[in-house]
Amino acid sequence: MGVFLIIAVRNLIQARRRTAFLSAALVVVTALLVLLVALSAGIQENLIRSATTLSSGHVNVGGFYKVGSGDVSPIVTRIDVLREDVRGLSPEVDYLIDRHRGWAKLVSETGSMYAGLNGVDIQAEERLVSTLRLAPEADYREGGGPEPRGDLKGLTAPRTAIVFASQAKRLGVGVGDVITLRTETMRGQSNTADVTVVAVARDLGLLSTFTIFVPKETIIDLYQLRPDTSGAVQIYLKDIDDAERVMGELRQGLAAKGYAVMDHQPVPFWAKLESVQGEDWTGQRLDVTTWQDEVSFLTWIITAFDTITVILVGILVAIIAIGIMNTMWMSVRERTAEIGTLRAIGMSRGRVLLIFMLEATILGAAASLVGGLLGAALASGVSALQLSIPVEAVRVVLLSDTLTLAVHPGSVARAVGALTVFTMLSALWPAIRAARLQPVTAMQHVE
Amino acid sequence: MSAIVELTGVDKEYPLGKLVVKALQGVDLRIERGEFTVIAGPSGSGKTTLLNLVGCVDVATRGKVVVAERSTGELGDGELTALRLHHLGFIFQTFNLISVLDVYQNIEFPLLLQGKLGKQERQERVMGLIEQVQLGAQVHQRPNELSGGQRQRVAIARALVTRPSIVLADEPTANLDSATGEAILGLMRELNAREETTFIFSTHDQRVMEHARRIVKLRDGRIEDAG
Amino acid sequence: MGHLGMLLRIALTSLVSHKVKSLIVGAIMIFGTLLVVLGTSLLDSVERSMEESVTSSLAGHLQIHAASAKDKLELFGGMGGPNADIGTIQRFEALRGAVSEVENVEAVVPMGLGVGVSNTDGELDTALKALRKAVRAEDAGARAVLEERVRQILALYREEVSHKLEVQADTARVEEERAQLEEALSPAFWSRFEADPLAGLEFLDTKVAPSFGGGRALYLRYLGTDIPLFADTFDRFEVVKGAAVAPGQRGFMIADRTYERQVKHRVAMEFDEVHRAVTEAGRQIAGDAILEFRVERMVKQYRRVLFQLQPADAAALEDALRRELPDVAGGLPELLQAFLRVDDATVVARYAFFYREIAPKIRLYDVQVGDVITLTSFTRTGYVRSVNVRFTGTFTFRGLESADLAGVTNLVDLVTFRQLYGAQTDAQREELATLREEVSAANVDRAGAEDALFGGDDAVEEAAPDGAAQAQLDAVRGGELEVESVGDVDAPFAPEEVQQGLVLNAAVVLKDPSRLEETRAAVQAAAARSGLEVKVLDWQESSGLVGQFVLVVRLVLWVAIGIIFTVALVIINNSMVMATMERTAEIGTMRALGAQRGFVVALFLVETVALGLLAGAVGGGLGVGLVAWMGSAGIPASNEVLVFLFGGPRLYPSVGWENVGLAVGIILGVSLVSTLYPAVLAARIQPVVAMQSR
Ligand SMILES: Nc1ncnc2c1ncn2[C@@H]1O[C@H](COP(=O)(O)OP(=O)(O)O)[C@@H](O)[C@H]1O
Ligand SMILES: [Mg+2]
Repeated sequence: MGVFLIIAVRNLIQARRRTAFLSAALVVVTALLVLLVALSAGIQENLIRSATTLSSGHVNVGGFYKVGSGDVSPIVTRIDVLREDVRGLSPEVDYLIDRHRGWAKLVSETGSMYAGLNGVDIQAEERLVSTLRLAPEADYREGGGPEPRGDLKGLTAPRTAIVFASQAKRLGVGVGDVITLRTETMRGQSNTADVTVVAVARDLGLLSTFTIFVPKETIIDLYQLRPDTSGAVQIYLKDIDDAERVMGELRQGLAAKGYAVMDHQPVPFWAKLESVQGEDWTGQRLDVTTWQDEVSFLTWIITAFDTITVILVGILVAIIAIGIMNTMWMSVRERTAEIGTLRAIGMSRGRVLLIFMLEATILGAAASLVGGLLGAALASGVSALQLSIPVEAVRVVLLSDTLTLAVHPGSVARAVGALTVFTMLSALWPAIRAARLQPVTAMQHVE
Repeated sequence: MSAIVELTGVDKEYPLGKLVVKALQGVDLRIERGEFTVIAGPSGSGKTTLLNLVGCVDVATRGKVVVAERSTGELGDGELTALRLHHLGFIFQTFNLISVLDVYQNIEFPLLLQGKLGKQERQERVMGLIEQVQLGAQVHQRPNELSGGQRQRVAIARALVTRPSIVLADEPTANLDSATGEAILGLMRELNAREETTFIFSTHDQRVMEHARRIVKLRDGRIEDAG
Repeated sequence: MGHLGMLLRIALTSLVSHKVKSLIVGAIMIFGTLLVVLGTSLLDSVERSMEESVTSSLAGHLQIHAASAKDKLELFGGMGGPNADIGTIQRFEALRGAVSEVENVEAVVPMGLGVGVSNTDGELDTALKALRKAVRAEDAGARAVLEERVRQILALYREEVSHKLEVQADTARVEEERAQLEEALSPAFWSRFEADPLAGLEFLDTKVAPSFGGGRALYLRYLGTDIPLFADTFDRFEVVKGAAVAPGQRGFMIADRTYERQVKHRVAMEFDEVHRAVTEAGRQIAGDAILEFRVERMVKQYRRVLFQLQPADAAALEDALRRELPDVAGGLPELLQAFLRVDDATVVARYAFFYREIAPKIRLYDVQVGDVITLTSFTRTGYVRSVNVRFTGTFTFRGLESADLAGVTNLVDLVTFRQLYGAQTDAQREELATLREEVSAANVDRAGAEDALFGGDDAVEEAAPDGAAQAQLDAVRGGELEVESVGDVDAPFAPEEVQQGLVLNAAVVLKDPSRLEETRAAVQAAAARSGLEVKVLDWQESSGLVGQFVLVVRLVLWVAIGIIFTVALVIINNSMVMATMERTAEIGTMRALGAQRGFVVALFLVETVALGLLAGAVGGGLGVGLVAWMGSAGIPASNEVLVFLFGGPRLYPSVGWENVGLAVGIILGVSLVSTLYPAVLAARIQPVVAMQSR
């Protein structure tokens, strides 16, 4: 084996230029693949980050309360009992919180807009506090300074709110200003509450344009709810990949404990309001969902992006395959005499095949490794630059205001592996042709 | 008679890994216009190297090479190329025909590069040579459809088509059977006599040397006998 | 350049001789050309058809709004929501005057976007209304049935009260509601009712109904405009049900898609969807998770049907269903659920049965053509305004029937729009002045004084955003009486009211859309000359997020093409380098024979250009053929967003010379660049290699 390896490596070195060019192509494609995968993962991570910060836990135990059969509110009752039961049922829980859910019109002196309300207990919201970044004042106020103002912990005070920079800009408010929250009920009644903005956070992509945070009490007041109600228990797991399984366990466990649990529908809670309203039960039903369900209206972005990636990589791989075959074919032709000699002195077909395949494998592995590392470095570099995206539609699609690429060693390894295997496959045909050469023909090839 | 080729104190060295191969050492050689000279010597004695220098496809490491009154060491690539185009004709050991062109086109090729003659004149010149090398039946065949002897005759025609002052032939018969080789040499002699073209060719074949008027003997890069 | 002929000859022959290389490089080039031709022409076609969709539905070719706008105008929706602040144009007549002067302007249509809520009746509301009618008509039989029905509904609310105690903090209020409910259920109440039904109805309407039973809040995004002018100008506009709002009349038109999707009875709508999926899209319910889910949801909502049935109808339907489903045990609820649980075998027949037997017995739409609806909206500063307006009919845009983007915006006359927006007419201004004197300022929130006061005609109610709002809204709600009695909704207004006064934006439709940029500048200049501070946008800028769609796709396409060509470049380069190395001896020979370096470079370039042109022709031809084929067959729009982008249910793409030219240009550029390195390598080949025996 050793000697074959040496032959393969030396051949590659001897055909330096050819090796270099083919490697370059492989490097480019691997790097591109890694970049695209990193971009896709970046979108996914933005989505997870903004979803699990803004509107969902890894798993949620929410629900609907129907006072009458034609009425529905996204409320769960006896939240403390529910929290205990949930905690008891899933040992994987890292921690859990509960949030109130609401929908209101925000009105300021100069503007208005609709937004989803998250009623939170800021003391319990470690993740929220660590993920939200205060926006520099200049982001939302003309002539504002570069330093951020306000304090997330200000939400401990009653009648306060944390808004996002884009909202602050629309509403023309800053830290310390008052906005009016107005909720409308089905019957056209409306309640209002004035809240003081205690912090303006940086945008977190599309979802953050229609989400704000207020203390739980504000929502309880606004909807005149009992204090032992809440919107949903949000469960954070040690590993987000367990979400699906934990959801299943919770569903069964809660049902076993006597809760009425709704069938799983992979859509966000607000998309269920209408159909739940038409269902003929009253009282409380729980709805267990994963974070993916709550942002399912955005997953098309990832699907679309992955489709484009697959098509693009497919085309590139086809082009590269042509290139590899061409190169290997040249190599076989050029070395026909040598192959003839080797066959004449008694080398078996299998070994000839082996030499060529080894050559392709070494080339493929080395080049795609370099490409993979290059792509990873580029991706990390670009991501670190925090380039801001100028086109709004692109921001919407990428779910972020800055270009985010997420590099995972696993996906880099997969890209490198795939390209190596693929190089081997492309080399197979020329290598078989080489192995099939008759020694006599091969020898005669010398001019 | 004036010298058309003049080499004085020429050395040619090739780097070979860490070594230096001295392919030619202290070569002094004068060749007059119209001569029919054979460079003879065993394989590796430096014949090809010498022809390369004379043919302006390579330059000497040391010493002076004057071809058609031009000192090659002082010329750039463009001027050397022009010199080759207008003053030199080549016949290669491996024929080196342009595979994608047919017999006629191969012979016409240097004329097209020169761009001096009109289509009519070119055609006359080319057809004349094709007659002389007796390839009238193969005018539109491609090199891979020709035998070795035929190919070399095309090469000869191509070398002569520009009416060069010097024709260089590196072992023109080495890849031919002896009868064909004889015929080719005969043809070259004939042309030398008729056109007064200077012929310099190399060989290590004893029989070939019989055709020569002057034999320059090379051994290990030195001139053993200037003939 | 006597060389050219020979260069060409050598190039072409060597293309043929080096078949493998030519094929590889050629194939990549052909593919590249095809991709560019296909990609750009499809995208251009989408852009053209989207332009058609946008300009022929809401936007026109140009949009004008005040220069003081804070937000972006997003006619088809976007990030800003419907209440974007785009400023106001106070005097539309001035703008129209200035802009109409511009040559190439066909029409200027006044506009303004807003969003309102219309609360539809719940089952108690419906029953009470019917009862009131019966009382008025002194129809004793109907009255008895309906009184019983009201009592049944009220009895159901007992459960509701106990549920309310679970979630609502204000237990005192719930207890009060319970007391009122018990009162309404007491025999004493009903004996009093016999004596004075109107007082009893008043109690039920104002005390009981507001606390119980759910109507539905219908959110309606509307465009206030001069509807007759709108209908004339946007030629894709088509009335589907009812009639268009007549000139000089107030009225509201719901987009047919919204009407079918939001206003329609949920069960009927769900059934429509399932039926359409099976019959039109050829899908199977069994195994299709989405359809199975829809069927299940339809079954769960059977009470929406049940609760709307009149007693006699219920009995008739139960009989009919029992004949249809003899195996099902139980009463009407079980029968209905079983009936609605359709599968692939039964869906078509039951759909027909539904529309034959059930649909006539239920309210198929929450709002019927001809109804007066109460539209409540918030002014930008948060004040509530309610206006009663007649719903005259539904409309659609031809070809865009199934596109949500073109079907979420409803139309309202400009006069009503201004009332909802809070604009003052001269008459109102006068009225406000009088009112100001009459009303003590202490009663009204100071900042909200104007908003709260003007527009005092009977059909308009407003409220300040405090406790008072509650009371006033309740008054509007409780006052179904008013709706019935109001004659105002049909009172005509003077045509000049529409021609003049406040609008938010205006659409400009051009005679020749190809001169859009030029006309845009002219319109901007004309407005400036008249001293109007406005901004003129093209359809793409004003349409909102959807306008950026083509931009994003174009970006993706070009990034993809860029990437593909980069890799192709490397591969072509690679092939060429190897081909060059194979030709070393030949090139050396040419050099030895006296060919200059430039000749060698030219040889390579000519070869590539020849191949590029050939591949470009083949690839371009293939592309043109493919697009032409697509153009005749049409690419079906697989979802509703595509319907909008395609300007109809199918896209008929066409290819222009610019697409092919661009593709061939790119391919030539790429191949020339990829030949540079091999050409340089070839030029560096020393003539001496010709002499080296191999
Ligand atoms: N390009 C080169 N690089 C290194 N050594 C060379 C090269 N060309 C020729 N030589 C060496 O120079 C010597 C003379 O070679 P050459 O002129 O080809 O001899 P001949 O033509 O008489 O056989 C030989 O020893 C040969 O190995
Ligand atoms: Mg030699």
